[in-house]
Amino acid sequence: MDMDLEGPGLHVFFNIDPNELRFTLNDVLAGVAPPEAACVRLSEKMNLNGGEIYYSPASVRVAEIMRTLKTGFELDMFDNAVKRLQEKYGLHYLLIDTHPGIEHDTLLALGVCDHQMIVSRIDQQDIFGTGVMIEVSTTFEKPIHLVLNMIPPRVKEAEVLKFARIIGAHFTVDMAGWLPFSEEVIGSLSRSVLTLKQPKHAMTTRFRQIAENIEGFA
Amino acid sequence: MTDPTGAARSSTNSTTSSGPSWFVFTNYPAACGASTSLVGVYKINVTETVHSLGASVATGQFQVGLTDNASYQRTNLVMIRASGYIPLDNVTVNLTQGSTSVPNFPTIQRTDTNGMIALAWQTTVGTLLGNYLVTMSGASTPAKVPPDLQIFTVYPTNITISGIWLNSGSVQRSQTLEFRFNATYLNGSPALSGSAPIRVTEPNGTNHTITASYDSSLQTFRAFYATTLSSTTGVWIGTLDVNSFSDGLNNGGPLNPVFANFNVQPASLAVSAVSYNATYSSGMIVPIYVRITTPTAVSFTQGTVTATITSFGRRIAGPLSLVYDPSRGEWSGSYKVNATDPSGTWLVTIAASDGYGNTGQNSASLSVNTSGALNPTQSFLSTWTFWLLVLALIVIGFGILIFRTRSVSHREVRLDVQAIKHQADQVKSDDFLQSIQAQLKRRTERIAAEKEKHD
Repeated sequence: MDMDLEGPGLHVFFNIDPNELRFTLNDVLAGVAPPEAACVRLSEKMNLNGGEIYYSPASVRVAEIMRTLKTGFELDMFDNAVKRLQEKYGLHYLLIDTHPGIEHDTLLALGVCDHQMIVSRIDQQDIFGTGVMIEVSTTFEKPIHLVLNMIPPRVKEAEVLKFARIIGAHFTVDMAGWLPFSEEVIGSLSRSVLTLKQPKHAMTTRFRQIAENIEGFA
Repeated sequence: MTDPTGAARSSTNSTTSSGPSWFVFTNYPAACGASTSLVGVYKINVTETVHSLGASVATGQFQVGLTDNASYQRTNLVMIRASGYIPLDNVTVNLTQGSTSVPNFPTIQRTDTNGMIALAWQTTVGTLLGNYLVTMSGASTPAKVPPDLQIFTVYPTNITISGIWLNSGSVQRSQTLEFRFNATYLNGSPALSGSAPIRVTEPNGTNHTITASYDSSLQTFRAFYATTLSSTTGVWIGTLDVNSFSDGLNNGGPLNPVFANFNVQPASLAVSAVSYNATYSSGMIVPIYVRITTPTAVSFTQGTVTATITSFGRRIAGPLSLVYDPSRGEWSGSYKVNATDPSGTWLVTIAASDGYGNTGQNSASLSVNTSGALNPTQSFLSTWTFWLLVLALIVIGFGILIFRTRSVSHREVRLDVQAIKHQADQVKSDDFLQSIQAQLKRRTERIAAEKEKHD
């Protein structure tokens, strides 16, 4: 679910033309479309051998983005939409990708989710924002997991773990994994899903480990 | 159709049945050539015209009154309307509660050219509660049977409180937190009187109650909660419970609880710096007097205060326990300089703490000249070998810096916990966040209630 209403971008990964979408999550939040109407089945497109994957896009039209942000959000409506999707499609996991900051849509997702996963680089700005996000999230009393991302190649794993321990000493957060900076990921320019294109790539292995961690949440 | 006098009128509609039951529509009074100018109950009886002539197949009734509602909340407008009077007749309208007329009543109103009369009565936040009676009679119009009278009820109005404002999202122990809120009636006018208890809940669930009252100069409701040095640290919640607010006129609110979170942190004790002007020699007493205050500038009198004397990292004495001197309002102690103590600059470091984790520290320097040798560090400082070593270290340092510049960028990331918590506290006081939390709480309560009902 692309809940980054201020700047949606997941459609690029899935190679979907946003102009072909009849309904988006913005319509669901506005109450003009049921959640399943704003849901795209990607199983065939992703050539999955098993399982199902659905994608709930957000609108890229500026007018609709502004309308949604101005209208505001209502927890129950979003919660009901999430529940309806879970029941309709028998979802095992529903991943909500939010805006990288504390916006209203982020808080709404925090209110509805069971677990929160924060992906952060280890630069000053991201770590500060991550710290604030963790502090705010603790008020929701839900498990928080942290993935450190784009770790520079010269940084050793021991140093990453040391930094993770420092974060862990100050905040209640679980380290779910870390991802090194990858030229291949950057090179794909968000045009495809790396784990499907290069299943034997080292980054794919790391993504799988994080996915296994997520499976362990349940 | 039978009106309140018992007079019956009818209209006949033809329709084709579409099944065992169907709808049939008619307009009263237009279709029957009647009127609704009499107050009371109008009875409806639907009978068949074929098959079973005159057999009743449906009945019903409706009520005609003088007011647009049977009950009102204070601040609502009561619309009063009647018909069936002689055109341009003077009609006396009276509105009473018990045997007393409401101010500005009775009043005489002239009917329009259709014999209708319409007026309104504005209720206020202080309108007397209970039943009211409206009566009407025309000067020239024959007395209506039944007469035009109507009873309606006035209830208290709801008061809305949209949120609680805090003077700070985070306080140190001993500081006082100010709560403010505005209360508004249904019509949007502000409540200017009354009070409400605010439940202040510690992180461990312990509740304290403070009372908010109206501050006419600030035109808002205010309450204060003073934390103590032993207050629990963490996130506290201030709650204005449902219907806890009363304006003193029997109007109440809010309909949903209103929350405000704030963070209580350990107190940072302010330790005054000791000032030493003299140079002390062996055998002299170095006095130590410090004033220690809480964040609210109140003297810190109970706890542990120590002084540690060092010179260039070498401990000379301490930690020496200081005692609180109520007559001076200061913590005091002293140290007698020994002949064997090193000469030079000494540092007196004062550390204050209590059993709850509140701490404070400060230090001051003094000059000492004894028969003892200079502190080895100080004598070393004065030698050329020291400066040579410093130069060498600088050169090596630059070398390391240049060598590792590109690889240490990640190590420069600092975790400024205080700044993070400060920023987070500001976010936590955001109205939308609190709204989400309030909605979550309501949802949890609703689910629990449904589960209990189901069980």
